[in-house]
Amino acid sequence: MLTIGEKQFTSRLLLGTGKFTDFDVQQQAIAASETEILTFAVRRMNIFEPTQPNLLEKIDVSKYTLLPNTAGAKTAEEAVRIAQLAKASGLCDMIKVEVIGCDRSLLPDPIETLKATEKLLELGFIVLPYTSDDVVLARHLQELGAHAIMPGASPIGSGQGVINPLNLQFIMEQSTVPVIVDAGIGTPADAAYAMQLGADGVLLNTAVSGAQNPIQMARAMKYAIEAGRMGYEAGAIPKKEYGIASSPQKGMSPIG
Amino acid sequence: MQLRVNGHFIDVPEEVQTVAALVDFLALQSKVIIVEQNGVILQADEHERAIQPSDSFEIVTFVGGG
Repeated sequence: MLTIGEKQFTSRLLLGTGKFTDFDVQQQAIAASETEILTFAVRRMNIFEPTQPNLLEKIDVSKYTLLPNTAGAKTAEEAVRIAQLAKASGLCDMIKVEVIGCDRSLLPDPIETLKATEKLLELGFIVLPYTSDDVVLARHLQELGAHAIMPGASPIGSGQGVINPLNLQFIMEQSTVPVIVDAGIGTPADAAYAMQLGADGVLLNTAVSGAQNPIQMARAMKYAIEAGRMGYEAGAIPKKEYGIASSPQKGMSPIG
Repeated sequence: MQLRVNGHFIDVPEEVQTVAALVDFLALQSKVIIVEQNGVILQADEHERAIQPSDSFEIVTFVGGG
């Protein structure tokens, strides 16, 4: 079970809802992933096209925990406002803090992320900050009271997978709250690897929405995350430099 | 009465006196929306608030995002 704040989840996959080209495919991908947590962004309503369909009208909102993000914010102040807007919907009390500090790499601004996390915790939110893989920053976020730490595997949408497993592992080892690897996952192998390292969950979006077959990829991610978690819990063998035979070395039957 | 909504100046009929009436006028009553009036975020149960000429509104919703 994955526990965030006071909520418990069976699935360890958190699915982003961005960049799907088709609502039907998106709904089927969400179902195939068996996720229980969906992320959203907060944006201006198009008041001149009120009939424009919205995903929230297509899914049974009561079946999912909504995790709005503060994407678009570049300062803590902007992130806090977006979080407050999201909460005023009455649909959610969880927030993914996302404060981007570099337009090219889309890496988060550590200082503004820390400030936003502190303020949102004061305001009573369940706060899940998206952060870089900085070990000390992750510890500071935890000490503030963040309900989960969400270090990136690699830049958002890059599909580069886990590029710093050592840092991620350090973060997982020290953390007393769930660590959810967020951003950069490209393949099921990446997701399984993150889980095998000891992640409590994986948040991904483009890996599914951008796949040639998003429904199939959603299913693959579900299994990968389950497999990685099971492998972690099962306890893998330590790595050795040279080969160690798995068959008996003695008792060979010689020729003639 | 003229209002500013999401950066656009729009004219609404005189009978639009509350935030809820504005939401109806914009045909958004069945949508998941959050309203900010003159910089104040309104909770879902605060939509009966009165509106005044030249009030400024931000109306936002949830869209796909990661």
